[in-house]
Amino acid sequence: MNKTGIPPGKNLTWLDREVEEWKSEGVISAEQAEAILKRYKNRQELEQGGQLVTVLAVIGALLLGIGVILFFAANWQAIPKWVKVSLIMGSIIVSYTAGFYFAFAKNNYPRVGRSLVFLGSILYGSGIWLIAQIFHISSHYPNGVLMWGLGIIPVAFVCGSLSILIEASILLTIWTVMEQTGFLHYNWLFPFFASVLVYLAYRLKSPLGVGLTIPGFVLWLALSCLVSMKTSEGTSFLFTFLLISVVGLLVYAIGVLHSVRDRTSVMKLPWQIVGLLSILISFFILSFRFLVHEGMLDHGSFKISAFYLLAFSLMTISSIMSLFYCYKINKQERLPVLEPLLLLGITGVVVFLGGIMYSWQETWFVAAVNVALFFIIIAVIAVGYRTRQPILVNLGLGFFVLDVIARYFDFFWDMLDKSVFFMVGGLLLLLGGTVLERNRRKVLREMRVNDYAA
Amino acid sequence: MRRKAWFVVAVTVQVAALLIMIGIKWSTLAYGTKIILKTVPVDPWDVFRGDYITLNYEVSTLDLKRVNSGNEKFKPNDTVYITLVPDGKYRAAAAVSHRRPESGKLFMKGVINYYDEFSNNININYGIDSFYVPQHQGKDIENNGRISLEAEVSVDSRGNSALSKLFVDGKEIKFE
Repeated sequence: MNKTGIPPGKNLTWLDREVEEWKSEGVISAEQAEAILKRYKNRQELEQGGQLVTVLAVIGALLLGIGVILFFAANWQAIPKWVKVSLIMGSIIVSYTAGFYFAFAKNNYPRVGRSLVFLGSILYGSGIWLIAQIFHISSHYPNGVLMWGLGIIPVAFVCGSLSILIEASILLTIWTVMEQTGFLHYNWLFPFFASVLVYLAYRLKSPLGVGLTIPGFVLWLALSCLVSMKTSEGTSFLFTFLLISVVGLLVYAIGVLHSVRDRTSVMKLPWQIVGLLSILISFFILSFRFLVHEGMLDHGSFKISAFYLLAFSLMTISSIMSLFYCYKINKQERLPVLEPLLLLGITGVVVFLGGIMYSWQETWFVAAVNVALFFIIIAVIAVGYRTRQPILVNLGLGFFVLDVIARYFDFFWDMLDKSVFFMVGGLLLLLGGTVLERNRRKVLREMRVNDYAA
Repeated sequence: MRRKAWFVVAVTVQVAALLIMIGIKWSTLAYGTKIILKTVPVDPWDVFRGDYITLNYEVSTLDLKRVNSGNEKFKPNDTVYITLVPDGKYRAAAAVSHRRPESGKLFMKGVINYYDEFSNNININYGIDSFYVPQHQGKDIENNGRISLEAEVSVDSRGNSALSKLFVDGKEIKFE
């Protein structure tokens, strides 16, 4: 990999702060401070230009790949079988070879070269599809996606390519969705393959790579749950959403575990986001009365599966255990213990909700979910503010707005005249939005100021 | 340069995967026994709609009351073998089983899509039910509902099958 020594944006913010302190402590003079900052600011601008090249090159590779597929598709009948096969193989090999030459062998156009390698991985995938066409192969369709996703992982490892990693994790997620929804089985191979991708994302030190691979796990577990409960679909969906919130807890807890060490703290963010989104989205869906009503209609034939109970208890126990571990570490270092406490609270709520749901008290369940969702949102914002994590504040506020809109529809849709309904709603949104945005900015600004003061 | 060596290995894996995919079908096409199967087109539902014709062979749906199943129980995703016997110029299914028939007999390997308890039918996928055609030409063939459709299929000694030609009213569909 080409190490340019250019610090990413976060380090620059850190440097800004440090240089300010060095100046105030008299370690360096004002001119020196300016010279240091200028040195890195220039580099940052250079880096941003480079990122633009990467984005352009990746889009270019994608377009070229699509073009090649369309060319083949349009001129299919005119080309003999063996020419088609050689064209496919040739384009894959040429794209990879040129990419390797520019990015690694000569290293003169690293970004363009890497995009060509990415193009190679797309051409390989289209090759699978085109060969299936030539030989009229149609057996077990998810295998094609699997073959594509698995086949490009070695290249991602050798080239340290984030774009191919993301491609592979999207493909494998599509694969498990196809397998599990189309053929109704647990697909135990998926967690194994996805772990390889998570490992690679850590090797590449890419929070984005981690963040795009974990949702696959959440989805896989949710689908496995649905597969395990074959009876009464609606009720299974309700229980699955409850399970997703517990999975979210565990994912979030793993994120909090990352903050224990400085070295791993960069990777806290993707786990936090995926975890929180899983919790909030599943609660949000369960907060609609009509959905819960539909889901509970056929609960008579519902049987909870052993798989579900096992997954639910394992998730709950392991998130509580990791929280206690964080709590212990945090106590010694006097870091805020708010996050673990928040999660502990949500765990309690989820278990409680599971209890009400299993006694089929529809009204109580929806009421409890709504109260819980509201308090969780407030708690997320509060914890985000106290522990200075803008992501929590932003996510919390986002779901606050969603929740308000959803409840407005719930309560007033039947009560008000439709014109009044929309006018009042629009006005509330405009006013509320302005107030909220002002406060959000204020909160974030304060957080930054406090950060400097600390 | 170790990276170069590993890169060559990684790319070779991909090319080899594609070649194996071709090789399996090619060997079936080249060395298999050629048979003619009766089939009908079914309306496909897919993103590439119109780019291929979905075929429903007579041997895809088996009535267990008529075909010898040896009282075996069938469920979706089971791998099964059907023994083929001549039926005029076509081949028809005579028996279905989880066990591979003894060599010398002509048989096809497939995976059960579904088992219909009510009619006692099983539906089997042999991996040959898509015939790819140039864009937009598939619909014309499908829309022409009353045509007679026959497929030439190669079957090798292990029961693997590959679709080679499709005939509409006795005439081969060719796009080249």
